[in-house]
Amino acid sequence: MKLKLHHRYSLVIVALLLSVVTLISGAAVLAFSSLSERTEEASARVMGDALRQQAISDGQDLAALASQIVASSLYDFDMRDLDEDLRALRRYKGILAIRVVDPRGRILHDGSDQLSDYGRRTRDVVTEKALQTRSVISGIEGDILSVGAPVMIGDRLLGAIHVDISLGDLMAHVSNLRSEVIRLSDDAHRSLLIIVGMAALILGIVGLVVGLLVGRGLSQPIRALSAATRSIGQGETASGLPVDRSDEIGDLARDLEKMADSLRQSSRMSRLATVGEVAVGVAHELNQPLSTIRMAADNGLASLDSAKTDEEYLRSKLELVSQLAGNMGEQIQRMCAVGRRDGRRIIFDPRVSVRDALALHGGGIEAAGIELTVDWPVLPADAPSLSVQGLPNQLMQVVVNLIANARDAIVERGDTPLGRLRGVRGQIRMTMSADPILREFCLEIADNGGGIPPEIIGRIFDPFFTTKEVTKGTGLGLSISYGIVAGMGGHIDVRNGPDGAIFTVALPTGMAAGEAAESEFIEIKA
Amino acid sequence: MDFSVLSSRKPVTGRADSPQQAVLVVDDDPLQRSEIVDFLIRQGIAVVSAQNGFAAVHEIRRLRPAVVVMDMKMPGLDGIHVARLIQDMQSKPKVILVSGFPEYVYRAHQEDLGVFAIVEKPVPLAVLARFIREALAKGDV
Repeated sequence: MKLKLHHRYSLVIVALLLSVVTLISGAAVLAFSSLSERTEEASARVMGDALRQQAISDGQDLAALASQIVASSLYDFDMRDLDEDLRALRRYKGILAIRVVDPRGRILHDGSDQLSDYGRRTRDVVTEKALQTRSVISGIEGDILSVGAPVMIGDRLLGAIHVDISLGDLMAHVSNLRSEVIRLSDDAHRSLLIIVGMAALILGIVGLVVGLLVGRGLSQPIRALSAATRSIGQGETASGLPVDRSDEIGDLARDLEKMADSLRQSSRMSRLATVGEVAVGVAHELNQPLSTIRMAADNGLASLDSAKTDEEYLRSKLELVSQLAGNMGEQIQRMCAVGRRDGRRIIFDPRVSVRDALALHGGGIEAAGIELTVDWPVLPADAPSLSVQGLPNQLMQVVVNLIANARDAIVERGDTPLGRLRGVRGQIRMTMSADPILREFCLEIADNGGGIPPEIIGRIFDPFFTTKEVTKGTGLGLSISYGIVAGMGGHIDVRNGPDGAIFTVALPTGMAAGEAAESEFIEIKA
Repeated sequence: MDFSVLSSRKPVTGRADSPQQAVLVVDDDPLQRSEIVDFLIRQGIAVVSAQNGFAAVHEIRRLRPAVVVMDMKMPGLDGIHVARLIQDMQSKPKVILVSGFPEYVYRAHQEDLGVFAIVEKPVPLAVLARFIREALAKGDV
């Protein structure tokens, strides 16, 4: 999956935030549940204890009250009264059993109608203790509270009363309380979970937004950098570089700007190198007419010196001088055009650039003893005029570069003692063709310089790649030619032929049918 | 290659009685060729001309000129090639090689062509004529 940089940043930030939230909330939930369990337990115990205490105290009060009630009956030993007292007492809610014993512990009344246990000695611990200590004693067994209370009038011990009170209601109440506490705690637990969940969700969204913003903040300058790099690659000036940033991206932008500067400088150098190439060619080309001018002038002077001056002859010489000087001026104009960088993109005949390149450079090539042949394309009469779009100067620079490269290859091979070119004349063959169906103009420049080693053929259009000595080439000629041709919508290729390299420049033609191309094309001498 | 130029050309001027004294001017540039020819005629020297290396070899064999004034940079057979061929001929004319290209001048100096002079263009015609007269004088000896 391909993710943009800022998406990745936001994902990372969201993941980080979520994991932090999960950790914190998990710990909180765990702590809360153990705390709430303990709270439940403690509160239930505390409440249970309090209630039990209350129940015991109530039971003891009840037993004390009962002992006072039965005291007079016992004093009088009136069994009927005692029976009535006990019946009344038994109506108290929660009283399960009630017994009255004499001071020696024998049962006088067991609260029932049968009186089946009468006279039997009680084994009840609580009652015995109450008799011994003459104070209210209570004990709990299961959910039954047993209370024993001595029955006394003044200091005289008349016996004891034993009351069993049910704690069932109390227990049920305590259990209700416990479940109520648990319910409340569960509610709190649920609310906590909901709050934690909401917090995680909100944090996640915030994280996503922050991540997107941060990512955008990071990727924005990177995108600007990449756009600038692209435009530098296309030979344009880079704008919008974030050079005023103080971070690493600012550093990168400043480095890129520096690189673009040096690249511009190198491209200027390469252009100057082309001008240099052309200058040599032009020097040759200019030398011819200059020589003729000199001779014509000499002949004119000689005619003046002789006895009979032929005016017609003098005129013809001066006309020749004037015409040749004019031609030389045009040549110089063309050479100056090579060095010009900018210019308007126009629609023009590509053959014009080839012709100009040959006019400026061809002489130098031939002077190096290399045969230069050019095949001009023959266009059908009804064909639309051959036209490409771009800067004629730049295309001429491309042709000059390619011819100079071919020449260098030939010269280099020729100088090698074992080179197979030794004794074979160097040849550069230029072929042009126009394909009206593909709408393509094709210029092929083939040399017999031995070709390009296969291991470097893929790199020869790379900037600064050169096989020439440091002083001879910038390594930019082919790369700049590549850029120029690409800028015109075409492509430049290289392959090895039987004798040497073959460079092909293909350009799309006839962009605007009917638009007049600069039709200054004229046949040139082969 | 235009082979029509191989057809013989007449000497531009008379003095057919002493063809050995004639000078052959070889240059592929018709303007320069005619200027040189004009000047030499004015100086009273018998002149023949050729427009390329092949024609030059033909004329040398046919007319046996005393001096050949030859441009070096020419299509096909260039001046240096012709000078080499002349070295193998039985009657060798004095050769004056002329060029506006430093490369040719350099190459001509590198090779032992046995030429009379190597002249760089542009050259004043008076100077060229002096060289030719000197060559003619040497040929007489």
